[in-house]
Amino acid sequence: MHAASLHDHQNVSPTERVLTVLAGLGALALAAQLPRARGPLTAVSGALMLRGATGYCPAYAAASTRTASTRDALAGPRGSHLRAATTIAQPVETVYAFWRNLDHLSKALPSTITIERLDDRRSRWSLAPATGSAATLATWTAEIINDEPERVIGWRTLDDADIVSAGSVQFKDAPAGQGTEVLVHMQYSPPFGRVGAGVARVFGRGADAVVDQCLRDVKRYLELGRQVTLRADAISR
Amino acid sequence: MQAVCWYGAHDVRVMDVPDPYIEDSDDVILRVRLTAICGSDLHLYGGFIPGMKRGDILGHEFLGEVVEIGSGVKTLAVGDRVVVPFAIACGRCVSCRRDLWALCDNSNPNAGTLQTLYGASGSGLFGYSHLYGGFSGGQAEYVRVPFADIGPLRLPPHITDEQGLFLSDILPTGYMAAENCDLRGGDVVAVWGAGPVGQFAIRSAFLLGASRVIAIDRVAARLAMATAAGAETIDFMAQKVYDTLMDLTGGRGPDACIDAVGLEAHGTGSIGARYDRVKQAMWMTTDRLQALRQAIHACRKGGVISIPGVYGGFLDKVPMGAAFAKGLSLKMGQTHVHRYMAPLLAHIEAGTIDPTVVISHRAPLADAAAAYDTFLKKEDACTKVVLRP
Repeated sequence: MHAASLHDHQNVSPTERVLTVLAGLGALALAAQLPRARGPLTAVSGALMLRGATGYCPAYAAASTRTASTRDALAGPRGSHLRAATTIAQPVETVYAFWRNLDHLSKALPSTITIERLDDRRSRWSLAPATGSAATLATWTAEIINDEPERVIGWRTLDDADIVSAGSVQFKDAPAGQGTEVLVHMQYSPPFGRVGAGVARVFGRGADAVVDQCLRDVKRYLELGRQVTLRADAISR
Repeated sequence: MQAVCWYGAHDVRVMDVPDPYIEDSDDVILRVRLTAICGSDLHLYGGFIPGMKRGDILGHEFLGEVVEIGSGVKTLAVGDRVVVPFAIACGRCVSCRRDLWALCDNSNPNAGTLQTLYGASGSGLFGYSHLYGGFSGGQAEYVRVPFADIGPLRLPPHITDEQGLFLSDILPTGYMAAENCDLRGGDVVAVWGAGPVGQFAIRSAFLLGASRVIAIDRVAARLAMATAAGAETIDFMAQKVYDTLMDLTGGRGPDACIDAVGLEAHGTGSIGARYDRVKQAMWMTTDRLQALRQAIHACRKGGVISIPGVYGGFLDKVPMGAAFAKGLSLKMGQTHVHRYMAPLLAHIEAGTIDPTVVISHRAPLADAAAAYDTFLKKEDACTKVVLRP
């Protein structure tokens, strides 16, 4: 399994990027001096250094990215790209059929993700911050815009989306009877823009990690028919 | 129930904790009859492995009686006496089907961290940190065993607990180390580290056709145990290892070298923290990396380096040039225990291997904290501790 993000859009000048990184280092030094403010200052420092390193400023881009239209939010260099892949030891017709039936798919995904099927092509998704939490981090309606049986399913979000996304899931035979290769390729417009995505990734819960976990869980479900249960307090008490 | 819990570096405590229960339909619960402290438990005890939390139950070598079975279990029944592989395997993924059980795709529910650190995760392990799944270990009165139809081996009544226990890890680990040497008749094998795994590697190498085995250690009792198995010995505190090996092999070097020592260096979190951790661990364990360096330096041209010793992080100053120039093969990895349990049980029944020879200490589970300390310091000729709950 493998996921990767690409950030190629820049809207900050080279000089300003150097100054931004220096400011970020300054904030980090300050964080070391002030234990009480360490958390926020470290976050600020991270955001500044990311802004400098990527050359992308969400504030500069805000005017053009605050839209839920996939065409506007994801066009050209906007949005973040993400790829993730896994190989599932089941034939491609089984994997495709499972994926196409969202009632089935939702059973395999992490319990923080719920899917409500609206009709054959549209579904309502919501993302909770933790298992069993009543709160919701984000919701979106997805529409299947491309469906080639046993080859590819393509989707995009509709205008109500908190996280605008568009992408595809491709299916193909793995060599030597190892089952099916599943490749997810998506573009998304993360909350708080790319800096938000970068900060989330630094803390290990970026979209890459979430999508990777989804693929691992679907693989395990299709190979075992269930997940491996582990009490939250399994060995620590 | 009583269980051996990890509370930090050099701090294990026998605590009263809740009993385990059936969580998935193919789980069983064992009442542990006998368990052991592994050399790799000392990596946890020393605080070298990240992903441990206070209160985690240790132990991945255990044998017990089935007291409860899940509704989906097909091959075991209440009352069966079984020994359990330390690596947890689903039996259905491509890795398991290829006989690579310790590389199971599905048994580690926390695979994400190891995927980030290593590029992919191996199987879940009992009692070996949350990186490897966070499964409770078997140094306890009871333990939950997932995938009960896949791993556990039922023992015949004439095999004692002490004879069967080490099928869980160190006997297959020593055997796989020797098998990885690809021995031809007449080969000479050198084994760094004459601890329990080294002892079984020595005996397995003879079983697999080695003409001579040379054991390298500094603990007199362990060297004596190697001698008893028919090995020649080198005390690395008193003799020059390379020179002695050359003298013993007509200047060729051993055909295969087994590093049964390993390195207590393990990664964590960010790259910087991982690097610091590695530097720190290596600083404390240079003599141990020295085993791998010596093995590569002394190995015969075209020979094999077989590594059952555990490595976890980034290694500095591995003599890759020597390994390349001499055309060495390196083989390593966690043991695919499931592959070896039945054939090694046959060896035990036939009397060709006696696993009990490595046991030096027997203690009640309640005395586990003292036993860890004695084992770490290799005091009192301590080679292997078994604990009875």
